[in-house]
Amino acid sequence: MKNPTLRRVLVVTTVVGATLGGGIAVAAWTSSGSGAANAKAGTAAAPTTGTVNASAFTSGLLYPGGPAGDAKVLVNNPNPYPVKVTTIVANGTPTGSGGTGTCTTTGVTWSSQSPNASVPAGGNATLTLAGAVSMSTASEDGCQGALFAIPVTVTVVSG
Amino acid sequence: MSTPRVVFAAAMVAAAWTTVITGLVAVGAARAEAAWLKSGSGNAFATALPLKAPDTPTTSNLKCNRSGGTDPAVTVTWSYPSTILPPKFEVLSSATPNNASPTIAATTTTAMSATIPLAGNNQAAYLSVRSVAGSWRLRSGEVRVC
Repeated sequence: MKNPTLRRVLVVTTVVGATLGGGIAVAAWTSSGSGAANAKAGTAAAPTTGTVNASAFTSGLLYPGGPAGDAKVLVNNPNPYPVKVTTIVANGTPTGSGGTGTCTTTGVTWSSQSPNASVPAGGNATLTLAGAVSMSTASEDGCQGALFAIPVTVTVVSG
Repeated sequence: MSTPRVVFAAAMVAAAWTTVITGLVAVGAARAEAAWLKSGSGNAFATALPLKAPDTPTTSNLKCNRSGGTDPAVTVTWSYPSTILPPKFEVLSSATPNNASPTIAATTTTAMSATIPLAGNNQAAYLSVRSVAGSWRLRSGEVRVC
């Protein structure tokens, strides 16, 4: 490059551009750090569940050796932001009540669910999960018409 | 400064910007994945079929003998005391009352009427209907014919 003026301009422009770019880059990464701090504000409250009455079921009822039936979960979201229910997995032994007799052996089993259903901020939603439960032939006669409470762990994610 | 040096310097600046943009994209992705996960324990609910015994059946078109070249037969009709039907009904027939192991003369799902053959010429038969849901079974009262 023969023109000294042009050469100087190019040199100065290059140096200034690199410096500004670096400055902006640092600023951007600093901002990113602030975002991570927000995520750390993990005061998220755990979801809870409510009771669903037997009268809420009109289909997908269970019987021994029958097809998988419907389950319902009333999910409460205590957080000030909406959540999505990602998974519902079993964490205990189902119990039966309100049947025609003794229902100690329910024969009820839960299949893990990934409903991806929304629950509004501070609100609740009743999820109907088709095919989530099954009843084996081990179920006692006294379980006819019973309402089963199936212990589960409900996992939610913000958004 | 020679032209190659200027080109090199410009390439370095471009590389720096590429690094910055890539970093910002990565930060964005990290933010997207930093969703708040939380688990809680509770209960899901399900219900079992409330199986009922069918009402005692009625009969019609009764034919007790083989006159006219046709075999004895009867039409059995019943009702079910719930709108939630069982998966299956069985029409039972026996030559003796309250037989614990009667013959299954017919099977239906939603129909509540069936025409069944009778065992013999002018022979008494005790008919009933059973609702069936897997291993759960409930039997109606009996009705005698012939």
